[in-house]
Formats: sequence, structure tokens, C-alpha cells
Amino acid sequence: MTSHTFQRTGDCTLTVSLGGDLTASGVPGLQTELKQHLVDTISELIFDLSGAAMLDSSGIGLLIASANSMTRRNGRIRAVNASADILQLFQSMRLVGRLNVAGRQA
Amino acid sequence: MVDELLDEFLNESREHLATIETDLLAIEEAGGNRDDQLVNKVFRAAHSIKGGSAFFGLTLIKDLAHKAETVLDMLRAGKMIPNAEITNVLLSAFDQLREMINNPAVRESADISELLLSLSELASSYLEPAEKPALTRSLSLLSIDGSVCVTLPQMDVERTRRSGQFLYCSDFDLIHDLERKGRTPLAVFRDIWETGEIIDCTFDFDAVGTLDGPINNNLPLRLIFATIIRPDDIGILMPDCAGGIRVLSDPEQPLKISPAKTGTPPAVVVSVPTVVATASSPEPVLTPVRLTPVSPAGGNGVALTPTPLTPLTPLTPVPAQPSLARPVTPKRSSAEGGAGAEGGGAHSPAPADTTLRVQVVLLEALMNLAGEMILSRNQLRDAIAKTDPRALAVADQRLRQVTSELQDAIMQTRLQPIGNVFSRFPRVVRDLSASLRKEVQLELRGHEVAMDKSLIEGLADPLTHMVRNSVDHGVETPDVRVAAGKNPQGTVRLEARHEAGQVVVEVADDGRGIDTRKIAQSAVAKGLVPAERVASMSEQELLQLIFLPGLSTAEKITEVSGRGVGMDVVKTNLDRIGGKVEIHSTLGRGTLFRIKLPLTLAIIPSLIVSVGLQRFAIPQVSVEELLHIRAEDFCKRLDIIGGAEVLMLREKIIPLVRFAQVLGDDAQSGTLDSGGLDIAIVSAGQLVYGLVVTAFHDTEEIVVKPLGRHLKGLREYAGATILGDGTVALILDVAGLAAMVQLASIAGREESRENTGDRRDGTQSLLLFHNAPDELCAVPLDIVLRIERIKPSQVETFGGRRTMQYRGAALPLVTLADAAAVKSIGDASDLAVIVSRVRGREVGLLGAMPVDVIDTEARIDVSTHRQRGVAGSVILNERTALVADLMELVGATSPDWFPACPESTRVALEPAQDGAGRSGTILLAEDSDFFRSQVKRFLEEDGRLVLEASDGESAWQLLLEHLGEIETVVTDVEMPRLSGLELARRIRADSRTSGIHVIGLSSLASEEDYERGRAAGFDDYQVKLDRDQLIAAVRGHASHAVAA
Repeated sequence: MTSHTFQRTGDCTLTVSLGGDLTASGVPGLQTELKQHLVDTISELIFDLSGAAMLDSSGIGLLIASANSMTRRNGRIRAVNASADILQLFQSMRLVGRLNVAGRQA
Repeated sequence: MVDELLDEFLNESREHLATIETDLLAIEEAGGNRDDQLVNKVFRAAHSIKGGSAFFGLTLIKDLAHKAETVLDMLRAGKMIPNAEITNVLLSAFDQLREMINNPAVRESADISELLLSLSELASSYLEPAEKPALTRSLSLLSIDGSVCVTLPQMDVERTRRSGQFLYCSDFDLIHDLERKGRTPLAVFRDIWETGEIIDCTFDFDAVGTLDGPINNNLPLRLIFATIIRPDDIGILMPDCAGGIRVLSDPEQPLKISPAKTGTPPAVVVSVPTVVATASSPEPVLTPVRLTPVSPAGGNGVALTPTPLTPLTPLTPVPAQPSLARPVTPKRSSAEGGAGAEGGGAHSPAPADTTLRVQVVLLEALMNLAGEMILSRNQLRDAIAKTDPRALAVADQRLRQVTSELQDAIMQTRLQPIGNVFSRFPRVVRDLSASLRKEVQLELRGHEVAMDKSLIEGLADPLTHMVRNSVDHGVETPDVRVAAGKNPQGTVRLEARHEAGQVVVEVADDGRGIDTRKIAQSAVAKGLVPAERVASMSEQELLQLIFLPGLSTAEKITEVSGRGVGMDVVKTNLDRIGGKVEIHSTLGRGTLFRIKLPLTLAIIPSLIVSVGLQRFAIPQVSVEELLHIRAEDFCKRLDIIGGAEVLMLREKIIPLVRFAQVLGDDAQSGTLDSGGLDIAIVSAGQLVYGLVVTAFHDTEEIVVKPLGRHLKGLREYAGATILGDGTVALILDVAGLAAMVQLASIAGREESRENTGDRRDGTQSLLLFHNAPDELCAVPLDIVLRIERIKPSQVETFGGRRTMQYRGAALPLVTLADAAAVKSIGDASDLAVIVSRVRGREVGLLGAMPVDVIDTEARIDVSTHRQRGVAGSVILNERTALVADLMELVGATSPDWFPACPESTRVALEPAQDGAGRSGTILLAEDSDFFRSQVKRFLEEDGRLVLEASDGESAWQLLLEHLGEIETVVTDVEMPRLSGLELARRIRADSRTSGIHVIGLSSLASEEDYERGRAAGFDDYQVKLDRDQLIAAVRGHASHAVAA
């Protein structure tokens, strides 16, 4: 099972570092963990996609649902270190702005 | 840390900018005669820079490139005609782009407001007032089924239509329609990227819910995308989905616009990527890998020429006018140096030529193979050190396997689908057919066929030319098609497929076909091919004439129907990439061009042969089969026809080329190996021949090395290679070799004609055929237009006249027995029709197969067997052949062809007394003994005294010796030493002879030949064996002389 790392930076920022691809099989588990870590003070949720080479429809769904959740609490989401494929997919899906996606650095 | 991808983008941009300056100036110079490809290239550069800079958040670069792109798009669409003002603004914009790309310090701080304003005003000022809002205007499109209305930027819609793409709207759910059907979003989007572009994508975010609810439920979105894939095949691209896929725009159909909803501002928000900074870097870090997010060139909205859009705004070019754009003077040119070290000349290779995108997985496979190779090398070293034969064999086997896999993998990196080229043709055909008022449907097959990158690139231009030719010259206008009983809509088919290790590409149309007669006339008129040679050409050879340089220009000027415009360039380009072209055409039915190409040019499987001690490689694609003829079978399998050695192979006669003779290796060529002959049957397009070699060896995959400069001129070699044992072998070009052999023989013949008369001692070419099986007959080859093989059932008899259907008309047929006392042709099952021309009309002389052509020095006896229809006889190989007199045969069967003498086919034979009480003396110059004796007989029968000369120079000498006696010179045109034309010019130029009448003689001359003759000084031009016309002409001149 893929393990993810959750790291708090101050009271406001939660960074989730994915331990592998974000696909249907791992989404329910991650969703549960996220809900546990997403305390009220968190206004910025950062997904570090360094460990993910690919994500599928459910993975995209999780990111959008996370963005919706953060919007409701006047917070925001960021997805950083996206792989080339993921970045291009988000670009075409016009999700870069919504999810604040940044690509992986060399 | 330097972002490598950003570096890649910057490098690519520099490559794009390298030739911009030269290109823009060339565009300006062309003015209204726009070079679409060039404008397109500059547009693509701006488009790519815009796309890449947007990814990286380089806003200023993106904005400037976008504005420049808009202006270039208008140039491309013909809305603007290039002039100095436009060029200046664009040059300034690209200079600034170059500056920002090269200098990080100004990348985010340069003041580009003036330039942006100039570009906007420029675009605006060149639009019709009604069009100006189009820059920012949106359109509400109704899907073709009327079920959906979508609002999109008008520029996007116009762009996709111009590039021949369909616009689709698809509502689907990522979970239900993709994930549960086993597909990933990336796979679907990739397919779209490869065939078109995504115009917009909108998620229903509310339907997704939050982390508090179940996620794996709904993920609906609406995708608007453009692609070249037609609605019938769209299922390939997009899976079936609940919301369905609707066509918003078919480039061949008018748009369905919802007027109430069209206007500005846009009703649909097209998402724009937001750029964010990472904690570790103040620089924007949107980091794409794919810098060209849309499809390959041609499929990404890149248009070549304007397409009328209905009912959108017209695309009428606005004449150059003082615009409202701010005057801008280019700050610098690349030649001035500075930061523009990349501002190279026009010859810098385009980025597409110098870079290739390779899948990472393939690179990994190559890395693995490189590792395997090193292991194999170590194994080999070890085996050599131990001198262990078994280990050597194992190492050898392993090395072979690894090399083979390595070769395959490397080849894979260079393979591209031919669809990359095909995708440009829907637009080409649509534009061209519209401008020509034709209805043409384009069928494309075999998009997926993969070929080497260099071949794909080399194929693009020739194919474009051929497709254009098919639409322009092949397919007829609807009214002509309807009149011919055809569908008003013509079809052009473009198909690629693999066949026997080659790629075959066909361009076919169902148009008017190629009229070989007109092609031949044009070729002769232009002096590209001698009339005599055309007369003996097969249909295939005549078709190949369209590839002659110069033919196209003549056709264009004289509007001779048929193809040929620039086809020589097509042939040259195809030759360059190893392509062979076949043409099949049926008049009124259509034309098919079949191009055969190798998969790659770098490594080719070849048969190694040897001649003497030298080894040669023959590309396997050229080898049809290998034969070994035993010595005892020589008499059965080998023969000499027309002086040439041939091989009888399964009822076919195949010419043989002894390669040793070609090499000048007399020791080898003179040896008839008692063990037999090794013959490789090779094909070069339509031509198949046998190549006699000393021995066959293995087939090998050889690496092609170009020939050195000093060997470049050798047509018979395609290159060289290094064989396994380290020796060098030349690679044979079988087409070049065939051409060379043929060329040598023709050259030899021409050379002999150029030489003195004693070398040309009466050799003449005769076509041999049979009348009855035991009656050998002949006609001079000079008068033969074509030879057709027919069945007896094709001969029709109406009203006592024999005809056959030939090229859409009835061809009169005569036999020797129609006039001469010979046997009937009988019930021969295999007939030959020798087509010639009498009195300007085609006629066929019916004979029996086999036919043969010989060059003989034997004298034609014009008395022993002379009778009506028989001009004389000749002894060939101890057999007597009757020489047919076609003029008399036609006179016997169709006297109405000779209206001057309805009762008789012959002019009355009373001697002409030309006032002086004696016959006029004629000087007859003719190099063919046969024709000379025939014409002399005609003239003598008319009471003339005839002086003979066998070439122009001798004739001139005779004329000077008999000044005052000779009143008329009758001369052939083609003669050794001094041609008939030169003789005529000399006669006209000399005051002693300028008053003498000159009559030119020819076998089969065109109108252009007549004109050339008259210009040289001929008073008249006559066909050689038309006795009556010739005598009438001589008498006419004589009477004029008397009257004078």
C-alpha cells in the first residue's frame, strides 16, 4: 500500500507528499487520511506530486474535491512538482489555475 | 538550479527566431504572391514561442508572441498583404522577443507596451470595419444536430476550419466514461493532441463534491476539441460516452451559428493557466515537458491559405493602405550581431530538421542494448584471447542478436507516421478544388504507416505536388464530368501501405487521364525527344515523358492538357529519397501514381554479387529473382533479338545486361562459363532485366555510405558500403544501370551519325513481322508510330473495310495482301498492328507475331520483288523479307484518302517537261539507302534526273558542282555531317544557290518541325513515302520557276 507523508508547516499549511501514483486504488485511503489531518486552521493544502508519475480519473477527482473543500473554508490548494505528463494533462484540462499546479524542477 | 526544460524552450525559441528575419523579408518581397509555407513557418514560430512561454509563465514573451501571431495569422489568411510597414512592426516584435529570450534581466521587465499597441493597431487597421471585432469576438455555435450551443472565440473557430479540422463538443464523465471502461484521461488527451488540439475544457466542479463525500462518483466535464478525425471515425479518439459527441463545425459545411448569442464579449471563459512560484524559487516554475502541446504541423490549426468561411466574415484581402499602426523601425537586424548570434541566415536548418522527440521508454531500451553490446564485446574479447572457437561462435551469435535489436530500436526512434504528411492534404484539396470550381473528394488511407523521418520529410513536397496536379489537371470540372457520364464529384485517393518491405504510396484520381499523344507531341515539339524515338515508345515510356525537365513549361504555355507541370522536380525529389514512380493512366478514366519507397535509407538489405574479383551490392528491393542457367540450356533460354541478348523466362522476353561488359572487363564478359550463367532478375520501375554476374553471395544488411565526390557522376552506383570482411563494395543502382546501358546505345548511334559518311554505310532499322507464317515482311522503323499486339477478334470488318477500336476511335487496318500478290494473313492467332501515319491519319498494318527490330546494312532491292504494295525486298539471314509500301497499301484500300487522284492512287507518270524541253534535275539528300532509293524511284518515274547524296555535306558539294542544273533540292532533315536544316540555311545564305527550291523530307514530323524547317529555308515539307504529294510539290515548284 502506498504511504503518504503529511507535514504541517505552522498552523496554516499542510503538505501531503505522495508516496506513489494517485490512482483509484489509493484514493479512498488518502481521502480518509486527509480528512483526519485537515484541521480547521489549515488554509493551504499542498500536494507534493514528486512521488507520483501518473494519476487517473479518481486522482483528479480527489484533487478537485480537495480544492472544493479548501474553497469552502476560504483556503486554497496547490499541487507542486507535477510530472511532465501530469502538468500537460492539467494544462489541457484547464485545471492549472484551479489547482495552482506547478511542475517538477530538474 | 537551472531548469533544463526552460533551457530547452529557450533553445527552441532561438532556433525558431534564427531565420525569422530572412523569412519576413522574403514574405514582404513576395507581396501579394504569398509563399504560404513561409508565412506558415513564421506563424508556427510565433505560435510555439507563445505556447512555451505561457507554460513557463513568461507573460511578456507570451503576450508579444500572441500579438505577432495574430498579425501573422491575418497574413496567412490573406487578410493583409505584406508591405514594409507590416514587416517593420513584425521585425521589431521578433527583435524584442529575441532580446527577452536571450537576456533574463529584461525577460520580465521589458517595456513592450508600444509594440503591443502597434501590433494591435496594425491588425485592426487591416480589417474591414465589420471584421474588427473578430479579434476579440466570440461565436455561439450550434452543433450540427442542433442539440448543443457552445460559445467560442471566433479566431479559434476560423483557425480550426482553415486547417481542415472538425470541431467537436463532448460531454462525459471521467469516472463513468473513462475509468470504468479502463481508460485513463491522459491516454484520451494524448490521442487528441496528436490529431488536433483542445480548444476548451470545463469541469462541473460542484458535481464533484468535497472531501466529505464519496469521490469515486461523478467527474463530469465538457471538452471542446478540434481534430482532423472525421465524425465517422471519432469513436477511435473518444470512447462512447453518455453525453455523446457532437460536431460543432465541419470544415466542409457552413457553420450553424446562433445569432442571438454571438457577439462580444465572450460568453465562455477559456481557462488560462495561473502561474505560481514555488517556495524554493522566485522564478515561475510551470514546468512542461511537451513544449508543443498540440498536434504535429498541419494538424494544429496551422493554415496554409485562406478558406472562405460561410457565413463568417469575408476574407477579401485589404489592399495596402496607410494603417493606424504606429510607425516602427526595426531596432536591429540579426546581421548586426548583438544578442542575436542565433540570427542566422536563411540556410539555417529549421528546428524540425534538427531535433527529434523520442519516447523515454525507447531511450531506455537503447541504453539497455548499449549495455548488452558492451557485455558482448567483453565476451568476444575473452573468446579471442582464449582462441576458443566455441566461445567465439557464442559471442558472434550474441553480438548478432544485440546488433539486430539495436538496429531495430534505433530505427524506431526515426519512424514517424505518414499521417503527419497526409494531414495537410484535406486543406490542399479543398482550397484548390474551390478555386478551380471543381468538386473533389479526398480519400486518405494508411495514416498509420510509419517511415523514416527523413523519408517523410522528403516525401512531403513531391506528394503535395502530385495531389495538386491530380486536382488541377486530373479531375475535370463537374460539367465535363457529367458530360462524360461521371459523377460530378471527382475523387482523389491517397493511400500508404507496406508491401514487400517497402512503403507504397499511391496518388490516384478518377479524372481525365493522361493523353500520351499530346505528351509525345509536346516532348517532340520542345526537342526533348526525337520524333523517331517517340514513334517507337511504349505507352509506359510515353507516360514517363512527363518527368522530362522542360516538358511542363511547354505544356503550361501551350495549355496542352495532361500533367507534367513540375513533375521533373517531383521525380528528382523522389529519386533523392530512393523512391520509384510508376504511372498507370487510362484516358477518360483516371491516373494512378505509385511511389515505392524504402523504409529507411540508412541500412538496406542487399544481395552481394561478384563480377570477376569485384563484389557489388544490389538492394534487395530491386531483386526479383535469381536464376542459374545451365550451359546446356543456353540455346533454349538465351536468344538474340535486334542485336540484343535476351532471356526467355516463363514466356517473357527479358533483356540481359552483362555486367562485366558494362565494367569493360572483357576477360570476364567474353567468357561463357561452361558451368552456366548466374542471372539476377532485377526491376527498376516498369523495367525488368537480367543482370549477368559471375557469382551470387549472401544477402547482407549493408550500411549505405555516400560515394566520394569523384564518383558522384556514376549513375550506375547508388553508393558504397563496407562488407563484413572490411572490403568496399559499390551499391548498384539498377535503374541507373539500365539507363546507362540504354544511353550508351543511343549515344553510340548518334555518335555514328555524327561521324563521316563512310562510318554510316547504309545501316537502317527495319521492323520485321510476318504476313503468312512463311512470308517475312518489313517496314522501315522510321515510319512506325507504335506496335500493338491484338487478338483476331479485335479486327472488325464493316463495308468491306477492316478496322479496330483504338484509343476511342476506329483505326483503319490494311494487310499486305490488300494490294500485293501475297498470301492472306490467314488465321494467325497472335496479330501485330504496326501503327503509322499516312496523309496525317493513323493507319494500322496488320501482320502476325513475332515482330522484331533489326539494324541491317543489307541493300534493299527495289526491282526484283517490286509490285504494288511492295516497295522491294531485303535479304536477312538468308531469308527474303518483303518491304511493305504502306502508302500504296492505303491507296489500294482507301483511295478516298487521296482526293487528288480518285481513279488511281498514283500520279500519272508522264514525264514533266519544264519549259526548257528537258526534265528538271533534282538533288536528293537522304542518308537512308532505303528511303533514298524509294524517293529516287518516285522522282525518276516522274521523269526527273536525280543526283544522290547520303549526307548534307556531300549534297552541298554536288550542288556547287552542278550549279545551274539543279532546280530543286529534296533533303532529309536528320543526316550525318550536315543536317537538312543546315543545308537549307547554307543554300539560302549563298547568293549562288539562294533561289533554289528546297523541299524537306521527314518520316513523322510535327507542326513544330515544319515551322523549324520553314525557318531554316525549306519551301515545302513532305512526308518521305507520300509519293504523290512529293511529286506534286516538285512539279509545283517547277511550274513556278517556269512562270517566273
